[in-house]
Amino acid sequence: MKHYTPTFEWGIGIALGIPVLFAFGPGIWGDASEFLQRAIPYRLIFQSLCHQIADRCYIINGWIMPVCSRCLGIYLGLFGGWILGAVFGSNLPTGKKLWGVISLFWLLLNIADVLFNLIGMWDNTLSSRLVLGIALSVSATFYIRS
Amino acid sequence: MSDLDFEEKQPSYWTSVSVAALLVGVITFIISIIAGYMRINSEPEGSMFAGIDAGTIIPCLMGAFAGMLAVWHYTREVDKKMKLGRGALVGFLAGLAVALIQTLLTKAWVLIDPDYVIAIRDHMIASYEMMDVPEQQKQMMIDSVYQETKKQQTIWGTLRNFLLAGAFSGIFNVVTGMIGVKIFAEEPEETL
Repeated sequence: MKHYTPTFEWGIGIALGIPVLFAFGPGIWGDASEFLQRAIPYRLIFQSLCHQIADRCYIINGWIMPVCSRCLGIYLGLFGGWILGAVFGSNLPTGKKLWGVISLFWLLLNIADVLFNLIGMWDNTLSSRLVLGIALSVSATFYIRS
Repeated sequence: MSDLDFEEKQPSYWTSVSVAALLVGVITFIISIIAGYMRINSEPEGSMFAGIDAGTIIPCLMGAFAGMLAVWHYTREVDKKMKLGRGALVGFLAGLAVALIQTLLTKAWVLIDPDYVIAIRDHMIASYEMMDVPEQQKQMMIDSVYQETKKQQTIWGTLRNFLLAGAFSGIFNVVTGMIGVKIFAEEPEETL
C-alpha cells in the first residue's frame, strides 16, 4: 500500500478526525455537555450530510448524536482506516482491483440494507448500520492507498 | 518530469469544481426542500425528522459526491492525469462550493416562502417534545433549535452556518475527490 508525504498523511488524518469528534455530540464530554450543546450547533454541522433521524442515532448520556449510526460508522471508519493504512499499510494486501471490489461489495451491501429496510423486507439495527458504515469507509481508505 | 513542472502544466480545475458544485448543490437543495414540505405536512413522530421516507434518505450523503463528480468532469473534459493531492483539493473546493450554493438557495427560498423556516422549526420542536430523552436535555435541544433559527436570519448567522457546513462538506468531499482520482484519473508516478 502507498504511503504519502508526512504532511499529506497528517493533514488528511487530522481532517478526518475532526468530524469524528463532533459526530458523537455533546454526550461524551461529561460535565461540559451542557456548555457544548449551547456553544456548538451540532445539528447544523451535519445537516447537509446526514438525515439525522433521531431513532437511528445513538444516545449518549441522554444526548442524541447529531448523526445516524451509519454516518457515525463512516466517519469512524474513514479516520480509523486512514490511520490503520498509515501504520500497518505495508503489511496489508495491495492491489487497486482487490480493494475496489471489496469497497464495491460493502457499498452494495449498504445500499441493499437501506432499500430492503425501506420496503420492509428486514429491520436493520443501530449496530448493523454502524458496522456496515465502518466496513465501507475502511475499505474506501484502503482503496485510496492501493 | 519534476513535481514543479507537472504542477505548472496542470490546467485549471475551477470549471469542474463549479459544474459539480452547481449540479450537486441544486439537486440536493431541491430534494431537501421537497423533503422539508413533506415533513411539515406530516405528523410529528418523536424523531428529529418525521417519516422515514425516500425524500429524507436520498439527500443523505449526496452532497458528499461533488468531489468525485468534479474529478470525473476534470479527467473527462480537461486532463486525464491527476495527482491524489490535487483530487483532494478539488474535492474540498467542490464541497465548499456546494455549501455556498445551498446557503444562497436557502436564503432565496425564504424570500419565496418566508414561513418555511418557521414551519420546519415548529415541526422539529414538536418532534423533540415527543422524544424519550431526559427533560433537561430535551429543553436544551429545543432552545438550541430556537437560537439556530434566530441566528440564521442574521448575516453573521448565515455566514457561520455556511462556514461550518462548508468545512465539513469540504472534508467529506476530500475523500470522494481522492476516490474519484483512483477511479477516473491516470495518476502520475509521483502520486502527490
